[in-house]
Amino acid sequence: MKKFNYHSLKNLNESYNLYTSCEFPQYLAGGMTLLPSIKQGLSSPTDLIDLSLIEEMKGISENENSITVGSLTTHNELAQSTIIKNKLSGLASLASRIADNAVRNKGTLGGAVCNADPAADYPAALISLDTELTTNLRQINVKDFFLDMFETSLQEGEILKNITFPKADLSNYEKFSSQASKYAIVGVFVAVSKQKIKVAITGASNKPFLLLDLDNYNINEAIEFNLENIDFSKYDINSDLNASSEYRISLIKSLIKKSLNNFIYE
Amino acid sequence: MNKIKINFKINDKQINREVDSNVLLSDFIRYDLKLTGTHIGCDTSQCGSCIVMLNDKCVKSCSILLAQCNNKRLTTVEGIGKTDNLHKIQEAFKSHHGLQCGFCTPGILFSALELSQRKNKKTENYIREFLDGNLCRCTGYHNIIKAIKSYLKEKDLLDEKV
Repeated sequence: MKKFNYHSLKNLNESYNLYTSCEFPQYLAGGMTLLPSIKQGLSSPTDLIDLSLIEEMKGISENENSITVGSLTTHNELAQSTIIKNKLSGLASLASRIADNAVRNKGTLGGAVCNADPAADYPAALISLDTELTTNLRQINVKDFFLDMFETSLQEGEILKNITFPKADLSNYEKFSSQASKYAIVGVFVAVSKQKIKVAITGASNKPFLLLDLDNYNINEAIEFNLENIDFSKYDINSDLNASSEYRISLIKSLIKKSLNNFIYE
Repeated sequence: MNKIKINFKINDKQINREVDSNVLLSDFIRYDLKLTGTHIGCDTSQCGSCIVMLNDKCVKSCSILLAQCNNKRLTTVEGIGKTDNLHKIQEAFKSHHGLQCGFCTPGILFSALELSQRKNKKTENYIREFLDGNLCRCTGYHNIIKAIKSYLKEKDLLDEKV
């Protein structure tokens, strides 16, 4: 195992100050991606700053129009939360299908979001639900957050505190995943608010994206829309060893249909 | 590299140590505490052989630093039953031939125990999905499922629907 210093502070600002004083520090949340990366030599921090004791990054709270989730919330906490299950069932279902149970017990919402893996599940939900991300420095709308593969608009040392999800009338997540890793080959999140749908796609491109062609349709209009008419060339769909771009486009279309049908039969 | 002070309970025994900051939980359990029931299979957090319970929840001990376990409570397979006094889940695996080489078994026992504590309907499908993250190369899983079903049935937790 590589050598590094380990720090665990209870205070957010102290953690941030420590970060700025270290040579090559990294924040540690659940560690479900970071620690395997360090073990494989893909990452060699001089200092690990464990954020897990910071209380203000924990918990799930509900307002009239939105739900705020602390970034240290684990995937299983999110999947089992009564608030999330009742008000954003698509997000609870998404969280319950990340990796496997032991990973879901430790991996966190904030860690997964900040890692910005192009095949991660949460980014689709964040974009479809038009979330606001609050850091120790500012508030960022999700459309300005994901920049590219493993790249976000977070500045050096900036810490994601929580994510605010506007409530939706309906939400649903469908994914076709790699059997080994459970990462999405294609993941489709559909949210319906005030009769209007928003469809976001993860796994298919270098970064998650909003499917503009269906933006603000109502469910019936979306069902009648001929998905064959979508020009996917503007979305830059990836080909890799898991799937060709043609196959991914086909998956996007079939998962959208599956999602919309779910709403009808609910 | 700094040293860190760490206190935790493992199988109800209190441990207070000063350790290197980069020690993995799996290595500490096996090589320092000599509790070799926890196995290191893939060492890349895929196989589930190293699963132990941290505050009553399954975690992969090969992907957690000992430092992250400060002030927490750990259970390894040595803490759930003894050779002459097996836990009910171990009895079920024994009666249903739920293991052959036994390498993956400690991890699977913990997955089964956490599953039994969930509120979800415990159907066979749910058991199979829950075991995603535990690899077994001998049994083909069928006898593992049988063993877990019989354990749940005995506790009146099994949903007989598929």
